[in-house]
Amino acid sequence: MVLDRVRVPVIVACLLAMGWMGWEATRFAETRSVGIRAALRDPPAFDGAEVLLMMWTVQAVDPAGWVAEKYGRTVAVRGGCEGLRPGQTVTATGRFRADGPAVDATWCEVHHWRRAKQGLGVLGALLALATLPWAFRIEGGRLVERG
Amino acid sequence: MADLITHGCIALLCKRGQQALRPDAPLHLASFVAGNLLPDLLARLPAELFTLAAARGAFVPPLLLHGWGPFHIPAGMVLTSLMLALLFPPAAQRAVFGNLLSGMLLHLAIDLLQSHAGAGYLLLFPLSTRPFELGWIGSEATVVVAPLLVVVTAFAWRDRLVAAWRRLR
Repeated sequence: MVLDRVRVPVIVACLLAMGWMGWEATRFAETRSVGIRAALRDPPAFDGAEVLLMMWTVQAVDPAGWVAEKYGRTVAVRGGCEGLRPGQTVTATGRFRADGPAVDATWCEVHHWRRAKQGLGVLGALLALATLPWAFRIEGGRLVERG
Repeated sequence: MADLITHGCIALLCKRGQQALRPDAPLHLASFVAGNLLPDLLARLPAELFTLAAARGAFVPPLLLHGWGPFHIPAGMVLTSLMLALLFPPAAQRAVFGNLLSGMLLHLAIDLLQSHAGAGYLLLFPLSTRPFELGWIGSEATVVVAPLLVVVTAFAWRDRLVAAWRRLR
């Protein structure tokens, strides 16, 4: 490729662009309107807003509802799923209530196969990290594909 | 995201198909499979590890929780493929770039099949934050497919597996 002669500046530019996109992605994740994180930071502003709890863990269950946890944050949830158990992974949508704060869930899905998927994910990651370095070698300061 | 076993098997089967259709064309198996696995290894793996740390009470800056996302979107895939391809000799860069990027896009295409309650993937980020997903299968649907894919993939690549086993012995 013609870019080879300027590969170092190109790689540095790509890294800077990735860093900027990572910063923007973080800003978006922290402030997106359907995200519970923004609602928890400023509850009155999000009172009645529809929020999404994506892959949150059930921390506790009580007669009034359940407590969801992710990223070290917790939120009380009313309704949505029946028969929840602590440790289950759940995705739920609902209305955010500033008093509490809490979420009145209108829809909920329990991810029963989550642990199995995480197991496959860990196994796949370990296999990939163990085998990918073998698929390449370094020759003259450059990467080369094996095989 | 689908699990890496499913992604890896589908990538290997695609390359087997290419080899059957165009036996004389260079395979670039390593680049294609690496490209297929890298979006999760670069975006999801660190995010999961830092999420785990945050859940255990450690202070984790939001950037370390969410900043890896661009490795899993088309714009980031193009930049990552370009950066990695430039590490190869000039004669191989174009082919490696193409295989890395097509592996990554295959990864994304498989993930788009899944349903994430409308959260989806930000395909046009950073130009747009509108999420998209096809939502044709559940987010854990690949768990039951993965074992079957492993068997089919091992059968499809049995000649290489046997050769590797003989070398080891």
